Amino acid sequence: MPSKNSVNRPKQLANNAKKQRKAHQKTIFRNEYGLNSKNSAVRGARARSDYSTQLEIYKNEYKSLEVHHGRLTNLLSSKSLSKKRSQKIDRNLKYVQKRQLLKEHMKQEKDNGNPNANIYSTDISVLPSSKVKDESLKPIEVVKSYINEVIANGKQQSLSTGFIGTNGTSLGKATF
Amino acid sequence: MSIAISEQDTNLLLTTKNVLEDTVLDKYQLAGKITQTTLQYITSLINSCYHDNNKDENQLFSISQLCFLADLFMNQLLNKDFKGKTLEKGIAFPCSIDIDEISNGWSPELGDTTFMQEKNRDAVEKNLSSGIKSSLKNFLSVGDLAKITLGCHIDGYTSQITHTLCVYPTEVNSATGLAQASGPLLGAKADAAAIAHIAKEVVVNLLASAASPEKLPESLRAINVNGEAKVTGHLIRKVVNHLVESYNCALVPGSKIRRIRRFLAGQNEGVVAEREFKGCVWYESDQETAFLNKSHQYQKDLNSNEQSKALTLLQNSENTHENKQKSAFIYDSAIATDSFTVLPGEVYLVDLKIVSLSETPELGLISVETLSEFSGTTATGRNMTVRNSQFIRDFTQLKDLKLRASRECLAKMDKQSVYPVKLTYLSDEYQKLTQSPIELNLQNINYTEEQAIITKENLKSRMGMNEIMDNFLATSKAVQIVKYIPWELIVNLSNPEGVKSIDAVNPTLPGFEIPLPKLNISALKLKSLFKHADTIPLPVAREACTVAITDDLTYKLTHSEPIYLNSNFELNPLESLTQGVYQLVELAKDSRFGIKVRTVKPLSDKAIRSEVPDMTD
Repeated sequence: MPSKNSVNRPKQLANNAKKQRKAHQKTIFRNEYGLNSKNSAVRGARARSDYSTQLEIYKNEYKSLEVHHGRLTNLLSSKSLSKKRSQKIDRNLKYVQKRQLLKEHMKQEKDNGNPNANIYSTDISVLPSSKVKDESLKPIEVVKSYINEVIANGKQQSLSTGFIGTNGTSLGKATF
Repeated sequence: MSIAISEQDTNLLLTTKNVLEDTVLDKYQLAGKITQTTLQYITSLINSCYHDNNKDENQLFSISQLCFLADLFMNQLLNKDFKGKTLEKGIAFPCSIDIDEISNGWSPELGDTTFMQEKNRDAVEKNLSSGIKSSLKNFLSVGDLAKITLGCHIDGYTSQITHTLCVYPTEVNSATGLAQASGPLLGAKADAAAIAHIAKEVVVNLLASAASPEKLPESLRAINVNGEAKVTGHLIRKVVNHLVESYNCALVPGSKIRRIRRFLAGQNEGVVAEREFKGCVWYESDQETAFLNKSHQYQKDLNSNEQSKALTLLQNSENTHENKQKSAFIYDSAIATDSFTVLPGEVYLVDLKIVSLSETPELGLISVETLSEFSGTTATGRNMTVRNSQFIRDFTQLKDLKLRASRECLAKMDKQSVYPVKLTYLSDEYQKLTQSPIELNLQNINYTEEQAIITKENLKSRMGMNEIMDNFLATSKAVQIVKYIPWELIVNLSNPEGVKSIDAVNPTLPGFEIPLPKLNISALKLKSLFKHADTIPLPVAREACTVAITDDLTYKLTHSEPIYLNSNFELNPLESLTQGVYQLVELAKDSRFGIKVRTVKPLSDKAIRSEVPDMTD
């Protein structure tokens, strides 16, 4: 067979054929796996709208399923999540949660008779802040508080730890 | 970096050669004798010029001359033919004269004064503290607390002494016609000097009782776990802390009571990590712990059943020091802990540096500041730029040097030992002088020509030493001063990052790199506080001696008499610890049933004069 770079190789034909073969294989896989099907009875079926490989990896639920020699096999995957993508997912999940809260909040508002409450609103800025301040002290701050206590006590009383008796201490002699 | 040595050699160097048998003990005693004789010599030199009203300023020996003469005298003594003990001998600690707040390292070379005065031109005279002033002037002044440190080794068996002297105003005694001090030393300096002497003597007795621990007084025994009769690190620390506190004083970081071995006498601390380090050391972290213990809230939190999360975290971080030793990965017997027992057959160095707290306005931390060799870092005008004079060869480093002067200097340095050397020792003229007979008549001492030649030769060595230092083939011993920092300054220090670094310039013993581990303050952060106007330099008193403990007798290798002083403080006789100390001292006086301590005497005049001294006396 002529090499890939040889002059008389029918390039377009071969390349297209290869691409089509791959695409076809993929379609077979998806069909078999139930990804194109709306029928949840298909084994391992997942609704197409929810499907995201990256989210699966993020949640640590990803099962690598590949077509190998036309058969579905469970192999080790080389798929990984970039740091940037995982940060994005992090952020998105946070907003999803917030929107969920917002929905409940707005529902409650509407039940209370607020005419302006829009349950389809996505403006999460109206939510009350849910941040809980960490009241516990850090070790250094605790040490500092102890030290400050001793300093404050020291200002009120004499600093000397020495013992002054009746005689004091005399050592040595005057001559050299 | 560690050097790989076979197990056999390690045993030979660390164990076999350190068995305190008769020949070894003789070498220790000889080293002690020579050290004491030199101390006597330099004391009489100082007395002859600084305590003699008839001498004018031109007749005084300067500090650098005193250091030179003491080293020369010691070398001349060492060069005598001591029969059978002539393997390897030399100066282990160059004579240094540290005044007031300078705690160690001041041993200027003969020509250094002009250089240092030039370097410190910009220093504001009135801002300088007394010790720095006298040191820059290069002459002692009345009222100065001068600490003389000396030491020598015979075949690696080292003895060291540090003694605190004071320069008194003098008067003539009408009865004897001799000069004497017009009054005792008083005030903060007297408190520190008094307790330094007392603590040293008590610790010597305590160490001596290791040979017969059953004689330990009950109140001292009670400090040990289960009241066991043995001399432990905990006991030593507790006794020393008690004594020092009774005089309203504090121990300066770097004070220590440690075991010494052949060639391992603490001369290289921080550079060489010693295996199986045994000893009590005092650092800033001990002051931090003691300070915290004064807090009622801390005590309450400790004793309450429900400990706060922060306190638990804090205690976990405290345990790391102990864990470092236990950890299998970095098992390191080089890290000092107090859980050791003093045993007969060991030699100990007692080195206590003490400052009085009576002149401090608030509660504060006592720390040491290293004086820099580079100008421009002393913008406060309160410190001086120094020139380090003691160098230690780092034998782990190898490098081909470019300058001929450096190569010559290194070759000479390699011939010296693992102990610090001064440039003077490398001078040929000096080596010639050490062979000459000792001049015992102090009036006749005149080495003017030789000093000029040595100064000139030092210039050349200095150039070589610069390249040696640049290539880390040697390290220099720093000059350090003691400073007080108010705790308020430390607590308010902005320190959001916590410990990130250690100070590679100032060596500490392994495991003590972080001065304030609970506050997470690194040495570099602490260093930044020294510039603050609220920090005060404090005069320090220092006493050191070497003690060899054998089964039946303890040899106090170096001994010094206390100076003339009067302190207001005394030990509180009502405290049980004081009672224990009193009983211990009584035991030491009892020659029949007590603790047996023998003080090694200095060489006799006859022995100093003769070429082959008879050591039988």
